[in-house]
Amino acid sequence: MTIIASQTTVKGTVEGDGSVEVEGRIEGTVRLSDTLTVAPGGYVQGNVEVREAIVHGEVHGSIQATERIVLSASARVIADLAAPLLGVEDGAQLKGQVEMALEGEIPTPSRTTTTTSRPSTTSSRPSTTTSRPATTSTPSRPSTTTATPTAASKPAPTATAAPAASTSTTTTTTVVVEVEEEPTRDAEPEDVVEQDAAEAAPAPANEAAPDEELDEEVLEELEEQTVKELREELRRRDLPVSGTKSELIERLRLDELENG
Amino acid sequence: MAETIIAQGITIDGEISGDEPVLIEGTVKGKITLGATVTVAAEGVVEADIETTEVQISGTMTGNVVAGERVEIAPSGKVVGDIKAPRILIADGAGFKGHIDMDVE
Repeated sequence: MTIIASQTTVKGTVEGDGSVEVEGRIEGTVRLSDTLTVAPGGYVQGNVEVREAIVHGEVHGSIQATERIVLSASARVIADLAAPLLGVEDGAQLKGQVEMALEGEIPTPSRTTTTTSRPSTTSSRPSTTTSRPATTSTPSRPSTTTATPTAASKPAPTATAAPAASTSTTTTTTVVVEVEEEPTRDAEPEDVVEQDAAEAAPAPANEAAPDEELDEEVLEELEEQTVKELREELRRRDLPVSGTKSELIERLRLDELENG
Repeated sequence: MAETIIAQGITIDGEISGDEPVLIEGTVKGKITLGATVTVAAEGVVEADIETTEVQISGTMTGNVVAGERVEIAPSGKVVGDIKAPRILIADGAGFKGHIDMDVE
């Protein structure tokens, strides 16, 4: 392991395969495939690109770790940190921007959406630029053309739009599921009603009731009559006379509703 | 006193300075200014000017050396450059190309 001792200063680039422990000073870039340990009293000024950074001492600049950054209680860091994992102990001093997003995971969906969303913004903008030449204001044209790259070079809004779009698609799919569920729920009670009507059928008044009051009266009248009387009535109307009393009543009632 | 070690696989491009011994097993390019001993191990490669008290070279060294006390080139050492020191030891088998100044008046 490489050790930069406490009374030693390195100015320049330190790079390679292996770990480095800094008890002294490094001013410059540190690029390692393994761990950089800044010991208590150690000082690093510059950009650090390592697999793992463990800081007990002082770091000014930036630390970019592919695995993790650990700031111990004695650490004093004024640097921008980027790593998938970050540990900050109680007592550590830190000032700087922290980026913990995994490099490979988030940019892939945002990149696809930026490429898809970009043509829409660029295609909409030429229409405004083509409409503006009518006023022949030449200074306005550069302003719009400079506005186009700034809109295209903003990955943040498009990146936020990308998760929103994905969530909206998931909500629509859940809606579809609900829609699919609803008919089955409706179908089941209908079957039950039909079964009830076939078995008992005394009062399916709510089935088809354009005139509920009239229907109610007719039903009462029919209910009072005997089976014989009902059959006679059916025969008069050229309707089938077979079935139970409730069936006869139902048949007459429907005929009453249809023909009056 | 602690010792600085530049391990194998590590390259330093720049300047090393301090008051502690430095052991170089890796690669150092640039300049080394020390108030202590610089040791270039057998696998070490130095392409730098060294200004220090004592230098021991077992590896490969390209550059000028100014030592306050002593320079020693071991049998496995290879040096291309000028050496200025009051005492210089070049072992049998060592390679050397350059000027030697032992400050003889």
